[in-house]
Amino acid sequence: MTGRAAILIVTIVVAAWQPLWPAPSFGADEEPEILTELDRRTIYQGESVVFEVTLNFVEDPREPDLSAFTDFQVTALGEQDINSTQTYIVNGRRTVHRRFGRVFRYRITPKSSGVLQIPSPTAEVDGKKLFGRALSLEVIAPEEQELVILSLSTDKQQVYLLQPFEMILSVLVRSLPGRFSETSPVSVQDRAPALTIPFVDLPEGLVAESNSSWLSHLIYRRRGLSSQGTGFSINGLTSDWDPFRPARFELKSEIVERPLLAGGRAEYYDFRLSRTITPREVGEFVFAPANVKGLFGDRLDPSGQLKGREIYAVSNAVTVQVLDAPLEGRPQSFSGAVGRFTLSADVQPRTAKVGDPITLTLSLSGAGTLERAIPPEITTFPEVARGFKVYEATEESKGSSRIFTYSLRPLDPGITAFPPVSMAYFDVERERYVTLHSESIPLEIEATEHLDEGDIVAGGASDRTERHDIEQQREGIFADVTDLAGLRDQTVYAQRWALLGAGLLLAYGLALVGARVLRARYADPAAQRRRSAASRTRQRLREAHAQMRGDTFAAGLESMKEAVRAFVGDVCGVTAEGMTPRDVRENLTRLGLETAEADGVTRILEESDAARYGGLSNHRVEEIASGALEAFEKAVKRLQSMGRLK
Amino acid sequence: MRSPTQKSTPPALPAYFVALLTAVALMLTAVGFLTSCGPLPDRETMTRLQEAQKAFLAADEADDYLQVAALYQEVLDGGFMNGAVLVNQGNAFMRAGRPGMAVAAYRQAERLRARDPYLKANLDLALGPNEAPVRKTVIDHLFFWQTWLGYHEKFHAAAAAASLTLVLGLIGLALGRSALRRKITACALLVALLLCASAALDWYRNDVLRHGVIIENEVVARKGNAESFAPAFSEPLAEAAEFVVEEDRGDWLRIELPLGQQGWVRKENVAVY
Repeated sequence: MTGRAAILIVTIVVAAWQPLWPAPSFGADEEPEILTELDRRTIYQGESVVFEVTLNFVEDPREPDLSAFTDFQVTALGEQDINSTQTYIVNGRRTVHRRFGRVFRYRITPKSSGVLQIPSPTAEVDGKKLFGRALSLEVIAPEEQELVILSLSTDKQQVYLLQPFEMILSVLVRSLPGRFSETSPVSVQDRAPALTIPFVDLPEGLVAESNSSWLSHLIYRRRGLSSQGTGFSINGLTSDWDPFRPARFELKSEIVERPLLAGGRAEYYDFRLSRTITPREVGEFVFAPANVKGLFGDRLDPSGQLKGREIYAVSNAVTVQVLDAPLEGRPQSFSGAVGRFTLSADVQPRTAKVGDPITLTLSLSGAGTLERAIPPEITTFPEVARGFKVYEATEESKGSSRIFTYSLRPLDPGITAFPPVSMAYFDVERERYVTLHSESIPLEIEATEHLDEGDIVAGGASDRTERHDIEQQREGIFADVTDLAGLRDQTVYAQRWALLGAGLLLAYGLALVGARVLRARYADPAAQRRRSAASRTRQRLREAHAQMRGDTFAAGLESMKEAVRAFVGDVCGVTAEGMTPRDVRENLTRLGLETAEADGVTRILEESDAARYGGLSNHRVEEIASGALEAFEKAVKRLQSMGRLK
Repeated sequence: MRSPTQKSTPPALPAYFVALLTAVALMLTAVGFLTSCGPLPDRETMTRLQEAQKAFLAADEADDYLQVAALYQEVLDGGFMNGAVLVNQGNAFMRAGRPGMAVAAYRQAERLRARDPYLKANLDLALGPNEAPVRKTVIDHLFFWQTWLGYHEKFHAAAAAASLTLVLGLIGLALGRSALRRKITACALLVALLLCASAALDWYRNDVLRHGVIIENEVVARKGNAESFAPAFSEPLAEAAEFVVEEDRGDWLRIELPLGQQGWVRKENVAVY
């Protein structure tokens, strides 16, 4: 940077990560525009260039329209948001170049040679159509030569979806002259001839085994100390152990003869590379011409040294048409699967009641595409529609299987089996539809009967299987109760329960009080004597009466007296021994008996004494005994009424 | 010299007294159980249930399932409360695409069908990402059976334990005290008290607290009971979000979310149970 008009260029590039920038605001001179750029302006026929389209000062940019690029094969390479400012200061004048928008990158490959015009890309922005600048590209046609000849071919130009086809590249390289004729023509170069093969990097919609597994066994490994190598480089691919230099690939070859334009025949090495490709999308796939660039030996100099020349050669392009399964002959049960499959079905549980939920699982397994497979409309099968209520199916992929799960409810107790269902797929090998039929699955469907709640809602699951069922039913199960007859109102009446609790507490309290009272009473010996006095005396009087009727008249009278004394002693809480009739009367009167009632009891003693010493007839004895009992009962009744016997 | 003190054994109570007490205790328990157990559905309720069941089987569209849910609601409004009916109603709401209403039905069913794994699976599905984190309190750890027993089952268990305690107590009264009988009765009493507390806790949670669920999507909770108040939360509430009602004022409810945030929502956007 010297001279009078020295130019000081200071370039400050201020580019930062977009989110750090404030929201864009465009100045008046920052109108939306389309910028176009090429990475090279001159290429050989068969080579590609990177074409960049920038939608500048465009908010929410959409992909530009490249439909006018009919003379080029266009492959999208991706897009990137940009937000950068570049400031140039030239002789004190400051210029700012600002870019905000999105860059769309494409690889374009010309289909012909010459100076080509790259058409203007267009884009719609705010209702206005914007045009980019058209660019020119010089495409140099390969020279006519017979040293290296490339050809691209395929075994099938039209295939069905997922039907594999093979792409084959043939590179004919003329044998080296003279004493080198036995040497491989691609082993004499210091730098490997560079092959660019269109089926190495596959476009979207085509799949094949990975590049590494396809090509790694072809990589040339240096032998001994030799610095020489052999083979081609392919699309700039490198090896794992030398990632900085393109690897050399030893393609399989055979020696062939072919005629020359000038007449005669020549020997060629035919290097071949093929790849099996499976289409996963319907459409037309164009494989651009392959090309090779490098130094190839073609003559010997006067000293016998091998000499060569730089060659750039291209092949033809190949187009493969991928078709969808044909409409003709397509069965109604076509699932969308293409390939070769088997069908299996299962129903669980196989024993159920009418209305119970059961699950049908259909599995379509095999080789081919299953992504597009849809669950069959099993209600189109009359037997299914008649016997089952069918809910929407769910679908999932597991390995090489597509599984469709249906919720069903049997409607008829007469059902003995789930009928076969059919599903069709397109067999690409035989190029025809194949219909698969599932097996009939035996079922036991019972009429709905009275069920308790557990049976109804748990679906018959036992405790042992409960956890397992939960695992199965993570997504929820909308099994309704099918028979509600056994259900009870489960309203919780909390107040009633509280009353019950209070009642129990009260009952216990009363029992406690009652028990204490009873215990207090039963613990007093005087009270116990009082309570038992009447019954004991009654018994003794009867025994005395029986004695008096028999031979022991005197003993009977004595017993009667003792019984009466004991009664008075028990009731009054005094000692019975030695008690006189007068004591008896006083004690009974003290208890509250009327004088006449007390006299009635006292008379028993007095009459007993009189009878013992005076002698009495049998009739009189009977009268005394009866009178004693009568007087005693009267006194007891009176004492009980006064509560004196408790 | 004094003789060693001996514990006097209380005298046995009369047999008629013991028999009378036991009979009263059993009778009280039986009457309590019978009056607290709900009756079988009457003819009208049965008819409605069958109609709902048929309608569910025939339903295809969301509106059909909403009709089914309405039929089940009629049954519930008629005073027949049953977990299975609520499960069915929840299922109908789920099929109608109303997870919020389904959560309300499933939550009520959960009180009565605590151990139903299908119900839990359905509830999880209905709650989706709205499922509130479970915060276990000390009480929840103490009453570890709380989620294992249904609401009515807790009352049954408490009553049974209380009756057993009463009978054991009566036996003690009748036969006199013994160390073993006393321990057994004390254990029964402890169990009865815990079960009573458990039932009371459920009663508080179910009958005293008012629970609710958002039944519309994107419901904005506000800081006051009017649309003019600012939103209470940074994001609107999603359908099936659950809450507890704190206050009821006109058309608005003050709600508390499981993590303690509070806001006001319109009654028309929620289902309260």
